[in-house]
Amino acid sequence: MSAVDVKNLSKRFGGLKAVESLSFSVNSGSVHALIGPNGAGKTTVLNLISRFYTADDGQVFVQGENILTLRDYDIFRTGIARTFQNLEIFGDLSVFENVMTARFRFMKSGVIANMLRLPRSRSEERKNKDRVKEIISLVGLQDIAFKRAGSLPYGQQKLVELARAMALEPKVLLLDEPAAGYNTEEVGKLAQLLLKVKDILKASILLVEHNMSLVMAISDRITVMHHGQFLAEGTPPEIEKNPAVIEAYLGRRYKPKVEEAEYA
Amino acid sequence: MPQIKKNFIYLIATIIILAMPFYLGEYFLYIATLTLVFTLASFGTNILSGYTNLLSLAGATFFGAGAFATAILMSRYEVSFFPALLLAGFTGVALSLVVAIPTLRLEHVYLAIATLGYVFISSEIAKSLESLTGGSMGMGVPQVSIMGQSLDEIGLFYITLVIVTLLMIAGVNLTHCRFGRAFFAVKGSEFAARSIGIPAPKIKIIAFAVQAFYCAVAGGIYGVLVRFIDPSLFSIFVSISFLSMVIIGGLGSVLGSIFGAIFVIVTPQLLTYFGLTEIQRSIYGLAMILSLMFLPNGLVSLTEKFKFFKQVEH
Repeated sequence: MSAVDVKNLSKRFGGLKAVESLSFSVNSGSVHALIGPNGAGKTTVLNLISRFYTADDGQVFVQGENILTLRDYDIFRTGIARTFQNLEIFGDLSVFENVMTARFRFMKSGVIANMLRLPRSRSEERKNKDRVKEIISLVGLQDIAFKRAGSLPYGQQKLVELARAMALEPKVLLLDEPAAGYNTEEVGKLAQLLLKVKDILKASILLVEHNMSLVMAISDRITVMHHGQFLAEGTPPEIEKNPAVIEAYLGRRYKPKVEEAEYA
Repeated sequence: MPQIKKNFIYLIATIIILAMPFYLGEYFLYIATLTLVFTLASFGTNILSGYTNLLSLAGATFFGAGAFATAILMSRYEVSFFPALLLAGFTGVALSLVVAIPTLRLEHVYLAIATLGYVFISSEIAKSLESLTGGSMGMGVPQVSIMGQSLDEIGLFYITLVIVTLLMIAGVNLTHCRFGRAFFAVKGSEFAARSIGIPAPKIKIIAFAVQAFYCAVAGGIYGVLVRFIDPSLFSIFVSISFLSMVIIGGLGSVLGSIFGAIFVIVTPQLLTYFGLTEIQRSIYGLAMILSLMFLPNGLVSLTEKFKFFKQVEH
């Protein structure tokens, strides 16, 4: 069974067809990249999958469940979690608390139990704390776990987001440009981290990314979008050589030779 | 070491507060009790506006409703003070649903203006229910008595201190648990909060309910403290004073709520005491402007400079 099945997904903003009848599948346990030139509709696809936008047409199955019928704050139950292109961390909270927020639905205590610090409230707090600390160490933020997340540099804030998504114990991780703002060395580390995270969670990753070295390094399959539509799909070497893809990125007059230098 | 120093400061503060009836005159003890009352309202408003970032001006509705509910239960139904106060708190919670649910989709100034409507409506309701509230003439509030013993100012101060302390501890606990974090999450990014399973509409309603409970209890104590209430309690100035406490004290901070209440209640009274009645409002206004100019994160940022209370804050 595939982890994510996108079927004929469409979204229109006024006259603009942001996504037009797009279909692709993410195999369980794989890293699947969604790429395309700026404005191709990649982030729109992620926002449709995470129910920030409502799709005009089509279905999205996560682990066999159609998530387009669920409310946005219920889709995490299907095993999906995401990070954001423009950081969406909770700046007022510490790193630890940021990650703890993702355990909200793993806890059951009510407002009054919280206020009175009833045993129920304390024990669930303790249980979740241990797991959250594990996750924070995994992404390497243990030394700054109690710093205010809003005061951290950009790169670390991105890791906070990753850790927060991981705290949902997802089976499918949607990552929106995880490498943005990283230098070559950091991208290498990120690639290793993402593969490690995938193995530990036994999850699949759906990756939207502009950084081709990251995409080529960790993806099992790549889907290319252009003007909201499906353009091509294949393994990294296949996509690299695909003339339609090269044309979409560089225009009609360029020849493949120019392209190889960039991916090298 | 810092822990010991911090505990020492807390100890001194506790002694200063507990000994207040022994060195404050009758009038200043009244001001101290009043400050305690407004600390509750300020903290409740901070949960809604500071932690969850919902700018509401309905605070006076809950405060006034709490005051009238307590007074009516005590005088017309002979309910004793504590159960009356608790019921007043729940009256506030019930009202908060009426306020919150229709305005859930509104944000920022739009929410502020929409909630303002409730203040006008509640004022009119209080005026028209003459048989219960005494209409625009207002009503007297019975003296608090515990086990047949009437409480004097000193007794009322200590009772208020106990209620406020317990509710503040409960509030601090709340901010450190799953709901407290959820408030901050909705403030930080509602989109992200929803993506990790936090039901934002429910969290907003709870934040309203918490504010309403604290403001209604504060209103209930206010009534028995001043002994007379009328529909002018349902005033936008009351709502604005709650918000200004939170903003002057520090958004999203427990200590900030306390500092804000002290500033807003005590400063005008002190100015009057020192014979500055005529220009009292101007100086108070100036102090407000200066404090926001130099301490945009509220008075609570002063403590960060001295590192006394750092651990307590978020």
